Amino acid sequence: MNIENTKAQMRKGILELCILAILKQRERYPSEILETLKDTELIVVEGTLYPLLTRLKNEGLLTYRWEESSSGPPRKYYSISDKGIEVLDELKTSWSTLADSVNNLIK
Amino acid sequence: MNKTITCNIAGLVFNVEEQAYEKLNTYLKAVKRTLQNEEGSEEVYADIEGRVAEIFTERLSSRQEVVLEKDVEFVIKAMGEPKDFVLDDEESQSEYKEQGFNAKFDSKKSEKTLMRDTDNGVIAGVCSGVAAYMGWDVVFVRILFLLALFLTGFGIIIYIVLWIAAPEAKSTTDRLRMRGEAITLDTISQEVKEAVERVERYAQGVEAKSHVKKIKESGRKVGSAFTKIFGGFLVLGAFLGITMFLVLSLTNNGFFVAEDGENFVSLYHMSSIIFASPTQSLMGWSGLLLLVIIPLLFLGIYGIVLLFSVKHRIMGKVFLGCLMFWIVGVIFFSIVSAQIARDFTHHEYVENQVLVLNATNLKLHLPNITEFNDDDDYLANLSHDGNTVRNSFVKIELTTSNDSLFHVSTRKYASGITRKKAYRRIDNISHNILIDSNLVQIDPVFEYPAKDCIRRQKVVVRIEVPENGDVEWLGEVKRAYIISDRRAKIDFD
Repeated sequence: MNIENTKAQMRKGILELCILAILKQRERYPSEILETLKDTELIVVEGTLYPLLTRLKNEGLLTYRWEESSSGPPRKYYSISDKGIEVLDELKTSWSTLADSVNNLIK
Repeated sequence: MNKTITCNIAGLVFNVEEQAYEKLNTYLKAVKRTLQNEEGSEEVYADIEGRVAEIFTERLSSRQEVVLEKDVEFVIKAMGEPKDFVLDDEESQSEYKEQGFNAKFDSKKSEKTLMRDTDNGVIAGVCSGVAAYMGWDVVFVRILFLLALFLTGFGIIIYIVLWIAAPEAKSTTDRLRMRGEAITLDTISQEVKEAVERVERYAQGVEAKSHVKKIKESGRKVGSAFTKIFGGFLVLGAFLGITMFLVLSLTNNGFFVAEDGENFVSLYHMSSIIFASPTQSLMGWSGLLLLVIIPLLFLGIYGIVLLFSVKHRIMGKVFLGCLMFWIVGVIFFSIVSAQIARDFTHHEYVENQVLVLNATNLKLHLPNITEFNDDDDYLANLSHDGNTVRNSFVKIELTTSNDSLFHVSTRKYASGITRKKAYRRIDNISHNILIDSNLVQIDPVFEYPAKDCIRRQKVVVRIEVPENGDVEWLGEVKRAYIISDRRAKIDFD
């Protein structure tokens, strides 16, 4: 078993929840999201973030708007949609349940 | 001093140092390739490019104007390996994934694909591609192909088929797949390093050699010594081959044994009685020359390329050129062969009754038999002076007569594209039989005009002997003349 791979899989699973949670606070552009996520050690490189954001957006959980940037090309500012908030709440519940039972199990 | 390349990333213009550019280009291509089966890949890729541009802008504004290799390294480190761009879950159901796309990244080796390695190739990179695929040394593969080419001529067909069938390994990821290596950041950067080395190698002799390069070179010297020896052999072989072919075909040391069995007759000399017209002769000769000399010439050029480390790239064009000429040769040669073959469509004979004799005894004599070369070979008994062909090999057939009489007849044979043409050739055959009461003198030589060419002209003298008759040979006679003898007993000397 490749332990690094397993960890990566676990992180990827929780990522969606975290992104939704972060964007619920306020709208952000990807680098900002990454800064926040880096502290949680859920994400190591930016590359993972972009496909995920695109998918969440395509599912209607996120929306974005363009904003001109002083340093570089225009940025995409993502914010959570109403549907996203619903999904987030659902995910939150299942995460708490999951975390509790897993914690109990591995105690 | 380093070259910079101007490029456009997400709509912004950057000056990128050459090596940095190579690396970035390879990286972005790998990312694109990894993403190609993901949903919304174009959008994701655009986002990534945008972010790369942003990072560059941030780094440049504070420091320098040109994007350097370390900036690219920073970007790659920040963005992650191509595998990080793939979302691992059941939701995306692309076919590629089901075939184990992810497993590919996890395992050490990815699925191998046969591709043409044009960067290391001589002609179209088929050999080096096969070598990469099989994990063999490329020199070994090339020798195999050359052997296949020489021994059967089949090598060239395999080569062309592979040329068409195997795609060219264009990108870095292609090159990794070609060798079956996993597409990770490590292997990519390794591959990029190698690519840069290849570029350096092409630039050799133009730039001053750096220390690093000198060290690298000494490592390559062992390999290149072998290459040079091989090249030398090729040049020598090609030279000898061409010389031998020319000597054998044009001078009198050639392929065919002449009448007296000691001298040889050149192919060129014989060609005037093989080809029916000057056009045919010209086509036949140019066809033959192209057919034989072009492959030798090609090997010679390849040898020179190896020997003097000329750029390999030119070999592609040389090969195409040679192939073209060679095919022209094949076509010419085939046309002429077909024309000549058609001249053998109809094989006819004309029979002439020479003598009908009522006697108990027949004397046979072959005068001037010395011309005969004691060898049961059609060509060995053939000679020509440009006007007349002499064949010193008349056949004699002895058989039983149906009545009580001796019958002597001749049959003259020849071939032609039509019956008429065959008969015309038969008419042109001259052969002498002298008859003096019961003595028959058979000339062992028959002649025909050189313009008729060799078209299976043959003279058979048929002697029918009655039940109670006797045949007596005067002088020398050789077994080779007698194609059948059902009747007479002959003492040979």
